[in-house]
Amino acid sequence: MRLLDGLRVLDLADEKGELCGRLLADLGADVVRLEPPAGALSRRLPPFAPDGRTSLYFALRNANKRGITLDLATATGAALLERLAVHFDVLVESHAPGFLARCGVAPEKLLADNPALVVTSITDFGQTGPYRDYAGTDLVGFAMGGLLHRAGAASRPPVVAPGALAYDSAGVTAAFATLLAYWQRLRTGRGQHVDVSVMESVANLSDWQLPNHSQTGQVGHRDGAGIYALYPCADGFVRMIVLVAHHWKALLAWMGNPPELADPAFEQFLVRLLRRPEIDPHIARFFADKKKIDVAREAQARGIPVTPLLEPGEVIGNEHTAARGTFRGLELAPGLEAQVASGFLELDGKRSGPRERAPFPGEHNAQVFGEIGLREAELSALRAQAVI
Amino acid sequence: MGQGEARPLSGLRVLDFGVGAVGVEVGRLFADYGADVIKVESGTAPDFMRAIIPGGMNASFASSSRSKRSLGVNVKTRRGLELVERLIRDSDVMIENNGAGVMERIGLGSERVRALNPRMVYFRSSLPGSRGPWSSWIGYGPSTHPVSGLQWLWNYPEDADRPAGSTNIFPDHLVGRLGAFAALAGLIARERSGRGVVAEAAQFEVAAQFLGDWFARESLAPGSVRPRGNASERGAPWGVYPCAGEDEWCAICVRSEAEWQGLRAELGDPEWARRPELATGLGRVRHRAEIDEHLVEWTRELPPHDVMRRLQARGIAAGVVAHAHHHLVDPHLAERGYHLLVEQKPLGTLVLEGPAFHGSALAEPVARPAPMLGEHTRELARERFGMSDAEIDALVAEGVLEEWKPEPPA
Repeated sequence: MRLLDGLRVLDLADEKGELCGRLLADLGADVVRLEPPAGALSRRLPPFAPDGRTSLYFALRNANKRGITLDLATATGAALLERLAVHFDVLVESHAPGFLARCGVAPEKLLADNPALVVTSITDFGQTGPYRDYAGTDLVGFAMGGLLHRAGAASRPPVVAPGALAYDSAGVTAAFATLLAYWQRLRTGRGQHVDVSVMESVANLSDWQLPNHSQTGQVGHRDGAGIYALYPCADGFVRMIVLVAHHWKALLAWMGNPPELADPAFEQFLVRLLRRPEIDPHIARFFADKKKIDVAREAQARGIPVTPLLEPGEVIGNEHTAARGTFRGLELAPGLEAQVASGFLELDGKRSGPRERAPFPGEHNAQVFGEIGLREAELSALRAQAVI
Repeated sequence: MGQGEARPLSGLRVLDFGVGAVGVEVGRLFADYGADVIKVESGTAPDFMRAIIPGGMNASFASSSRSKRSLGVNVKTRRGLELVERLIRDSDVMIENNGAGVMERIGLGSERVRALNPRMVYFRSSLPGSRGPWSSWIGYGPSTHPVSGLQWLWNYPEDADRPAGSTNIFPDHLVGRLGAFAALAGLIARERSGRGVVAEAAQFEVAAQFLGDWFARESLAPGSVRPRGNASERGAPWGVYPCAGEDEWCAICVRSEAEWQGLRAELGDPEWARRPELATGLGRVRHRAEIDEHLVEWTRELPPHDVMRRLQARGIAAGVVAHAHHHLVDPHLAERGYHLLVEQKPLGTLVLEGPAFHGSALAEPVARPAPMLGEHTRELARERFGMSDAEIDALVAEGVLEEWKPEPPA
């Protein structure tokens, strides 16, 4: 049994919202990914497998889903969506605001047909407000949400995070919002339309900069690793965050209590911050001939928060991720087995993550449309009209 | 927006043993939607977020513990632990993100909690996770960046040997949202099964999950995954461009032929943009450096919001690289009700982050001030333990309960 067994989700989200359905599917929901007959845009997004064709972006965010195709731009397709939606608890979509209404399947209409439905819309800026119709990308969301401004060296342009953190953050936020609305429906019997904004999803992660600014008028600036310092070692870097006095005392003891750092004022975080130029050379010298993994192990044994800077291959292959099963082999396409991140959560000690590869376009058409009562003859007609 | 709706999580009782950001943000999201969230804490081991600035209250804490009540109790005393066990028996959700083994040593590990209350939905999170050779490692949000691959990849492509670094606490706030999602899923399942669940997220692992497609590629073609900076193979120009003003930037992404034509028109179709090698998407990606050189000449004369508005009017994805002041005065956020005001003693009026989503039948969050440590101890001891003031006074005197008292007026 999984937590969301029995929850039926129709997932129209592309690129910016695909992780929402993946998270629901990981926890056991029956998620049906609906794409245009030509396949979703996100099937053409990097990164690609070495075959140059298989989008790993799509593969990871659509694992555990079933797949159907439907052309919403046709009247027949829109009517079929309306018919489908009656059979689901949740519909997730990420079209531009107003697109579904123009197809004749506005969220209000879907709710009129199925008042218990939760419709979750994930868009760059939300369904209202002056930016509603602005175009967005992951980079634009990361920028406007406020995470980009404090990333990168002070003397360089801000640098965006790898992956699609803005869009995936919206996916996580949407998964929470969807279950919140579903929980309310369990109590009231009523569904609703949920409006998730990528910009606001990212802004919610921006480290309380807004309340701090509203109090002090100050704005945080880009400063490399800043107070979360990176130190070079013999074979790379470690990050050491000496936040409280006992971290500092443990570090001094490890370094053999150098007299230059004996000033008790250094026990205060703000003093250390202001006098870093006095402190850092000693630390750098102490780490210079040690390997990053040895520095991390010894520091952690002494209660100092140090982590080694690992390259991607070192993340996949280290003793900790191996012991935890952080990655697992999964066939992403016929003959293409890769190591995939094995899931965000453990539930009662069991990993909840990708079990089944992402579907091909329309792979489950006969099955899913069959479940809502379409007969083979009707499906053939729809295929002939290129509606599915 | 849903007005006049009952808040969906009202009636749920949440015990928040969070520190820093992860657990604390889970509690905040539950409080936003009406749950009765009790921050269980003690001056003997205070949440470091309270302690970073003297006085026990700051804007970060005020945001992340909004609308909660604080119970000051020392669980290292036998009587204190008994009282918390009583709370556990009649609560629905418990949240913690302390280091490995901390809750077990107190006597409130997941096994014990489950024995006390089989219906408890227990969310816990730590940097390394509770299993594996590094499970005793400690750290903060930024400590996850190096071990998850995020740090090495979050860089300018030419600087792979010199980490760029960021001061974002990521992924703490996002793990908070993931935790709230997991806890809700646990509550939904409990409606059927009658049983609770222990949900766990290792923070470094969450950061790695978001890079899952890149790790898959690395496993298929070792060494092929490198820092990519702000560029994309999807198009050019694509990146972050300096604008007029100090440290002001605008992100611009040109994805299609139509958008390229729109950009050309907006720039007055300069000669460089008409060159045949820039006529195709592939050609523009190949000549991105050259395009960027020209585009910067245009952007650096204009404030970032002008660049954004002018390009968006042409259908081009463009957005200012926002900082907190931009968010404070942003007309879009204002219109969508993002600015949530709270009177927070002793700081004054604060603007908190509002919701990232709205629902047509969802009550909007209302923020109440975050509590001082032990501010609601007496209220909660009366309400949940049925204690008299004399009993409460005695437990405060013994150091079992901790109570905040306002400073007498000078």
